[in-house]
Amino acid sequence: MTSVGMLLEVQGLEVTFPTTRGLLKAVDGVSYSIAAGQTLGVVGESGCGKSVAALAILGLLPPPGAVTAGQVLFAGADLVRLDPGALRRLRGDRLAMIFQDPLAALNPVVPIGDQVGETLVIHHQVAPSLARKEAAALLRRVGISDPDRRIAEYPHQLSGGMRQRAVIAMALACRPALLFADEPTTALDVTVQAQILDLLDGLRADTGMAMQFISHNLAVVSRLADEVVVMYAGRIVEKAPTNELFRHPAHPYTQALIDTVPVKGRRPRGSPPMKLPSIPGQVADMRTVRTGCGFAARCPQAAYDCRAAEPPLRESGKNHWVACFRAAT
Amino acid sequence: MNGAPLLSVEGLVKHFPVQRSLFRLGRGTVVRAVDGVSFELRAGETLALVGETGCGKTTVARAAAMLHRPTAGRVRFRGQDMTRLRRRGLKAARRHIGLIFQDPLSSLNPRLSVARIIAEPLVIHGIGSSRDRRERALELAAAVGIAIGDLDRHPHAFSGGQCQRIAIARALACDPALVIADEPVSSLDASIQSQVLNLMIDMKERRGLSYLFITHDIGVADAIADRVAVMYAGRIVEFGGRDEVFHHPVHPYTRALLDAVPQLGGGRGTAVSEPGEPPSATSLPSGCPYHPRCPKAQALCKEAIPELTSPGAKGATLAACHFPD
Repeated sequence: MTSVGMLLEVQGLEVTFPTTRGLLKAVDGVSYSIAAGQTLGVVGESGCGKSVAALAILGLLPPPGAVTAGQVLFAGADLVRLDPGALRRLRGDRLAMIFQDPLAALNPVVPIGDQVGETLVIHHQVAPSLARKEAAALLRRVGISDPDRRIAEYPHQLSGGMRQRAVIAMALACRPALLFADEPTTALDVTVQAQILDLLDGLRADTGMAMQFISHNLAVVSRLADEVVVMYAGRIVEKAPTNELFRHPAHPYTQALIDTVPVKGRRPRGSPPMKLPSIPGQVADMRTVRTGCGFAARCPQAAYDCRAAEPPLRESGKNHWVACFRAAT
Repeated sequence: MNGAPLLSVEGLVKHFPVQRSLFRLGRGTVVRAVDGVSFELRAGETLALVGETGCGKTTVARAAAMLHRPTAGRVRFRGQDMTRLRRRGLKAARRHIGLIFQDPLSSLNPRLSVARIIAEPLVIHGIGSSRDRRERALELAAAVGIAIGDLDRHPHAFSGGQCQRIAIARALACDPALVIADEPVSSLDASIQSQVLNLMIDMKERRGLSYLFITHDIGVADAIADRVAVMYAGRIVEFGGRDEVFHHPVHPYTRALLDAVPQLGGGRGTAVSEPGEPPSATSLPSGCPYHPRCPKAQALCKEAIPELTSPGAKGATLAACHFPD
């Protein structure tokens, strides 16, 4: 993997939580990179480590979680070893983030305009009056009508979609180089989700920022991402350009996930309700110690070697990486 | 259509008063959660009620089981008008309705064993001896894929998907004719969703159930439904067979809703977004509630609320639109 022109490079990231049953490796040796202006989609089910990895990169891991190995290179610095003050100066400025629940990300007793302008005041010492003006411009940019009136309103006066737009405006205030978006549309209705996805992709194209878009929803990711990383049980099981991943999924988990998602049009017209292909078993329990491939217990192709050793991530095609002994090369 | 419908909802209205302050009910302000909904559910079919947050689909589901007393309208189940029933009559009627909710963990009593949870409806309706009930719980657990050895454990020991299996077993305990399922797979992971949907399809085939299936997920509705009702702002805007509604929608909202769903591997810009958001149920627009967002809206749409009628010769689909496609 080359490092030329990469904005973010994550190498061998490992995040551990001490538990009563021993150390839990929530993220287990994850490596990927994002180029400027690109969108990386990260998909996986609950507990696969997709959110924890992002929080670790941003230095926002809830204690007692800790990064126990690896490095995260951003703009020449290793974020893992950066002192907290320096990381704080990057966060909200060059590195921005939006999360699933916009209401939790907004202060209920501060007007929207002040919250959107706040990052400018903090990071760039902009005068509050000027920041408020800039906030109105940002709100207009994210598609909030009548922004001069909206800046005086409080979060409870906005709809869910409007709140997420306001949070996006906050994240964009300092023109970040990289935006982490963790399930930003999961709490929204599908028509509003489509608007927010259009907005995010449009902003990326206009500003040249890069994006790490985390979601459990394969279809949502496929709309935005240039490249997709599939995670299972704390590890990357497959990584490929978006079209390639959906056309030629190589890992049995990716294949099964694509087949199992109920999407409109899978059931033929005129056919009665019929069973969907499904993945047997439960989502991997990270608390149990395991050897070998995390998906082996649910995998139709698993053999002895899958349970004995962990398959390494290897290149199976051009820019197509897969961690599976059974996958064709 | 052969025979009387299993469930028939006629002119259902449910308004909730809004509390303005802690001590005073605001006069005149109501949430018009459901504003005149009528449909029939035939025995043996799955009717999916789809729509976005706040469209009233959950309120319809709850009113269909008489968990909410409707403000107006009738709910007939097996020919009996449930809105006229009081406590005892209602309890007897509800024996034939199973309920499944979105959040599997919070809908299971954390202090009861799984065997007891599954048998609870039998206890409530006084069916069988305790040994019979235990046997019935064993049989249901096996049918939904819960290991017999797990029956004496408590809900917290199970994953979300397993809890939803337990909830399905409980809903089936009294051999219901109708199961009302409110977003039963929405909180589950992708790989578990299809397991639970498959189980529901399987149970329906084996036990001759009918489902009133509430979901916001078009993909899920497409997989399981025989017929579909699309709701918007407290009303049904389109009603028809699954093929017709999902492949030849006639209401502009249905079309927008379908277009907004991202497709697997679709790539950039493949879903189309419509402007605006659903209206607040406390201040619905005049006329057709969709007119402020509708690309086809004309003067008439701002004045008159369109009735749910057959838009053309095709006949099978009903739409509430002045200018259907």
